Amino acid sequence: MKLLKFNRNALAQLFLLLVGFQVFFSVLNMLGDRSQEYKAGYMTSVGGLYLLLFPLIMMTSFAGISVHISLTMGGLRRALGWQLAALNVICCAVVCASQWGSMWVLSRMFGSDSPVFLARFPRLAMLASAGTLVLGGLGLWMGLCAQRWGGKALALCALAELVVAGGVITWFVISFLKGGAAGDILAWLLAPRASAASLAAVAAGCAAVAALLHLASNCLLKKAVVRV
Amino acid sequence: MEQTLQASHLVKRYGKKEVLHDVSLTIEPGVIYGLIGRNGAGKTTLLSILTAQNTHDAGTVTYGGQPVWENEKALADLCFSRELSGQILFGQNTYKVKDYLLAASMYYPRWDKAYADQLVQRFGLDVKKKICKLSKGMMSMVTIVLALASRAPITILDEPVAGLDVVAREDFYKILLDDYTETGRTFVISTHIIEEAANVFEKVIILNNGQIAAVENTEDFVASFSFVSGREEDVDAVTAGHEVLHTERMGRQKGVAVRAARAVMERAAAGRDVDISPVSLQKAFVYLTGEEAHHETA
Repeated sequence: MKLLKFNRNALAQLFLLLVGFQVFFSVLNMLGDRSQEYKAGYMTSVGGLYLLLFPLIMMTSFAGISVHISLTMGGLRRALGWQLAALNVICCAVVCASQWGSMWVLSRMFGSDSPVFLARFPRLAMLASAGTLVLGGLGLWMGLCAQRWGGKALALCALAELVVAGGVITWFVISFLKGGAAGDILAWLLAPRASAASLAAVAAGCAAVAALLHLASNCLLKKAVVRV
Repeated sequence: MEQTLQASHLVKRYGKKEVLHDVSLTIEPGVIYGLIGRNGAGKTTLLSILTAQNTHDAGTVTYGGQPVWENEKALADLCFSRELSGQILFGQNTYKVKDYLLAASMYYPRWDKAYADQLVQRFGLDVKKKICKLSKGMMSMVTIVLALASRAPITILDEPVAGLDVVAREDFYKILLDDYTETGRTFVISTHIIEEAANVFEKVIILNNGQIAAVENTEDFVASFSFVSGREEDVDAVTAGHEVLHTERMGRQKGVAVRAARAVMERAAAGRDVDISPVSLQKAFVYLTGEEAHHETA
């Protein structure tokens, strides 16, 4: 796993950075004079925002760098396909772990209603997985067609990221302007059930993403080889 | 052992623009090649296709008779050290030098870490700096370290001396020749600083407008040009029947570059008052590929 090996430092740094962000904003939130429901909603919102945005940003960055480095140093495209897929899943896992872990610690420290967030978390994580699936696919495409379509693929990644980020931020701003906690907007989507089944679904989703990307890479690669 | 890298009838298009037209080339083992061509001639495209980093639209690229595309064994023997740029958010530029070299150590099976460390020290590279923060010359040094320490049987360097000062360039050529003497591996070096490198290149490949204009032994290639100067009527008489590549006039004096060996010109000039001088590799390249390259037979 060459890609993971030389991205490990960046992944570790990002994990700590996200924990820091979450703890900072959550402590501010916890110290405020608001209802427990509001606080839990706030944290869900912040956590959700991270989950939706950071895997996308990470994949754009990692996929771009990794693909370039790997191919310019004689890496095989077929190896790159599954390595990118694995990196994709790990990016998502890092963000999930940082958010869930920091919220768990905070809920212990403050004794607040954070379990609401923890309960909603698995579905949030599934959303994040879906997001990374889109970007992972683009990253894969970029990997297979690097230097031929690299520029266009990167532009598409950036566009996808912009659309998702813009949409999510707009959503949150409107929610706040309406006077409610942003987390309430998500509430209809995120039923407060933290079950082993949900977590298993997340894991299965991640595995499905990896398998799909691997299959797609082989399929696309055969076409590329036939073409050449 | 080293094997032959061969391209046959390569065609490469970017959209509707065809950048390589029916290029055939054989890179033999144990030779230092110089690849020269004008900006946009297709040098980097050709090198990236030879090393399976880029697709092509027609033709084949083989190493030891096997296609290089997705061929792990072939790719392990090929190193194409690309020119680095200062773009902040582009590829490896966000990496620190030490991480970039670490990545190289994972991909090149013959990576020589001790040699890489030695070169880093010799060039005075700060390995903790990000590539995008390095000067152009320092970036070139990183590409040189990567190429040489890869110990790949076929090592290709794209503009390795771009941005290097004259001392560093001399140092690079010395290191390169020492390495070549020690390992006998194949080097392909693309450069625009032709004059300095002319003595290093055993063979020269000239790429002009996406086509191979020449692949020859450098000495033989340079020796096949002559510059004849003198009174116009003498020069015209001496160069009659030869391929004229370049003409310049100063009053009644005329200078003509021709595609003919000096000995041939000297024989033709018997009894006439003309000077016959050799042509440098750079001049030969300019005559072949320059704007006024209107080859005519005098």
